[in-house]
Amino acid sequence: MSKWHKLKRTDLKDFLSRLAEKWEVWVPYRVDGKWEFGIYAPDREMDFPESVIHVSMKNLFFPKRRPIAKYEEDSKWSMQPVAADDKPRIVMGLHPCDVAGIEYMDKVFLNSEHKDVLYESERKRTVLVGMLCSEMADNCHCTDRGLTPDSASGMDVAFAKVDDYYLFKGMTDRGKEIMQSEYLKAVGDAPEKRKWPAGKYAIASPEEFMDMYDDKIWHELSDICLTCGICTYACPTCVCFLVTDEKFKGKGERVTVWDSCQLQSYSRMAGGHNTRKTPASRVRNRTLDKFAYSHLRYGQISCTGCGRCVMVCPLKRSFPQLGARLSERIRDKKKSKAGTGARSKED
Amino acid sequence: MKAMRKKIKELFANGDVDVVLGYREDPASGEVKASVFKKDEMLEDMVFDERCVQNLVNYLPTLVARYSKVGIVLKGCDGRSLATQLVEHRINKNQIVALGVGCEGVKVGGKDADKCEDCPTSMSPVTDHEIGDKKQKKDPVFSKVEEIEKMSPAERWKFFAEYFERCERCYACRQICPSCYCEICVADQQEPKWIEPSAKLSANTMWHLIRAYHLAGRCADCGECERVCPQEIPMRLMNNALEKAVHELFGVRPGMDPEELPPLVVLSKEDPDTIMGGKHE
Ligand code: SF4
Ligand code: SF4
Ligand code: SF4
Ligand code: SF4
Repeated sequence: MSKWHKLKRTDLKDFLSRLAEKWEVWVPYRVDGKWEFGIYAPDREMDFPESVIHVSMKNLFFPKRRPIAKYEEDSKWSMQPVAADDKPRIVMGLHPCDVAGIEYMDKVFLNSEHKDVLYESERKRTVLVGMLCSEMADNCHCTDRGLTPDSASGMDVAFAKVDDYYLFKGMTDRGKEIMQSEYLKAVGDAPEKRKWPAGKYAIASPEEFMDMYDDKIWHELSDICLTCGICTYACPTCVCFLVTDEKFKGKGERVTVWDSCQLQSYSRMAGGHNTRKTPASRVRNRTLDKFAYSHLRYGQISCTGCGRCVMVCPLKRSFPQLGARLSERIRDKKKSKAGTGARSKED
Repeated sequence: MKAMRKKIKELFANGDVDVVLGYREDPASGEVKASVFKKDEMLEDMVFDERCVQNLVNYLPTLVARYSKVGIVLKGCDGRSLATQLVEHRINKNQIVALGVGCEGVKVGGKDADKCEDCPTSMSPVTDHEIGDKKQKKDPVFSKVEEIEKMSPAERWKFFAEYFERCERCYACRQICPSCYCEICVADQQEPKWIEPSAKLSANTMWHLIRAYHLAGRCADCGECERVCPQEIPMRLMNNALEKAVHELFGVRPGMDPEELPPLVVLSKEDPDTIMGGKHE
């Protein structure tokens, strides 16, 4: 195994500038107190957050609005697929929950029968330089979802902030090239492993969640939810999209756009029937998708415990808490051995 | 607060309400959230103070479909909101028990909410029971709108375009608005596609213009759209510009009178005719 290498904090800019000669380097920036990702520019003040931030990196692999084909009137509207980008890229500063989100997206977009070629090219051109968390933020509960805040699993290069320097380690062959920098000096010691506390949102098993499908509790759990789209847009594993054509003056694009199962329009079908008309049925879909359907389909639940859905919710409604409450209900039900609730008329 | 709890206990005891929509302080987190109270449940956690920002009227249609009698705690602005819903026949007043509370203003992010500055009613115009004091009515002031009106069209476009650009099209603004209740929103229509679903400047501009125009003469300025927007887009500015226009043209402020129809659904001989000049004959 390769060794951990030290980078002085004062060398960070030079190190990044050198990388930027060959790669497109994406790093986090703080703008007006909010974090965002941008291409590295030496004259812009940047920093690495200690823990999860409200934006996920989903947009870098599976953009919010993504042209997939173009057409023009002059060429008789014939569809031209959009060429994939193959410029080598480094995405730096993702945390273990972000990496877990990307691994889940891989299952959806790469390992299914319909491979998404544009997603594949984004993945192929990207070296993931992940950062181990040095703290757990308020809503973090990755430890309840089988992850560890300082695990390097899935990263090409891992790094950690220590005192006035960083420690880097190449994890894969793709990561090695980055490790060849003159600014990195091999050292013996690895960053200290910590013992992390459990989160507040332990949940029941996927099978137990499935048994709750017909329960009346969904009305109670959804009663204040606005069913807006923001928690799904922020979620690193919400991957639904719609396909639409945008035409203007003899030119057109076919694009994929993020969609959200929380919006009424999502499940409206031709002819106007809506299979998920009530907020309760939409909240049920989001919850079971995270904690059960994902497991049935891909063998892994899709919530990584990042807590972003709580961070961005306009009502600060806690989706993780909802999962935990549901699990409590499952436990109570088991204890009392009472039958399942009747299917509600409104569903 | 004591008076309110007492009143609500009474209503439950007399069978006047099945549930009450109000605000609850979560004992664990200390956060104040909208909550549906049932008989003998959680009433000790009910609060009413400056943290009770959310307009609860938006939840009424779902609740009246499930319960026959719903009580609701109302600030002045929420009461105006309820009035707009009653005149539009969205909710049947017989199913509602309106608990007006004399509001002293609310805080958003530690600061006095902007909307409170322009608030014309501290007490709901619709009430079955009133708790606390009523304050004097105020005439509308539209100072922020006037600032925008002083800008040139190019400056104005620049000002708003910067915000429109950021819209994520999450529709939190629509979802929280009591007055945005179309069965199929214009933004969701596929054929014809009035507004493209992707978050980009041109489509976002369409979304914002249509959203604002559809609320002209109907928006009671509860300010919820702006408060919940994750991108801090100043939607009240657009709403207030229309409110100002409606006030100047028809002398109406939405929600102030639960009997008065929205001016844009009424054709009156007294209406000013700004296109042909003069009045309709
Ligand atoms: S949980 Fe919050 S963010 Fe998610 S749909 Fe409901 S109101 Fe919107
Ligand atoms: S459901 Fe919430 S906590 Fe789980 S991965 Fe999505 S945003 Fe993160
Ligand atoms: S809440 Fe804000 S970001 Fe979301 S759709 Fe409305 S204006 Fe856009
Ligand atoms: S447009 Fe905004 S301020 Fe007006 S009623 Fe709707 S949510 Fe309230």
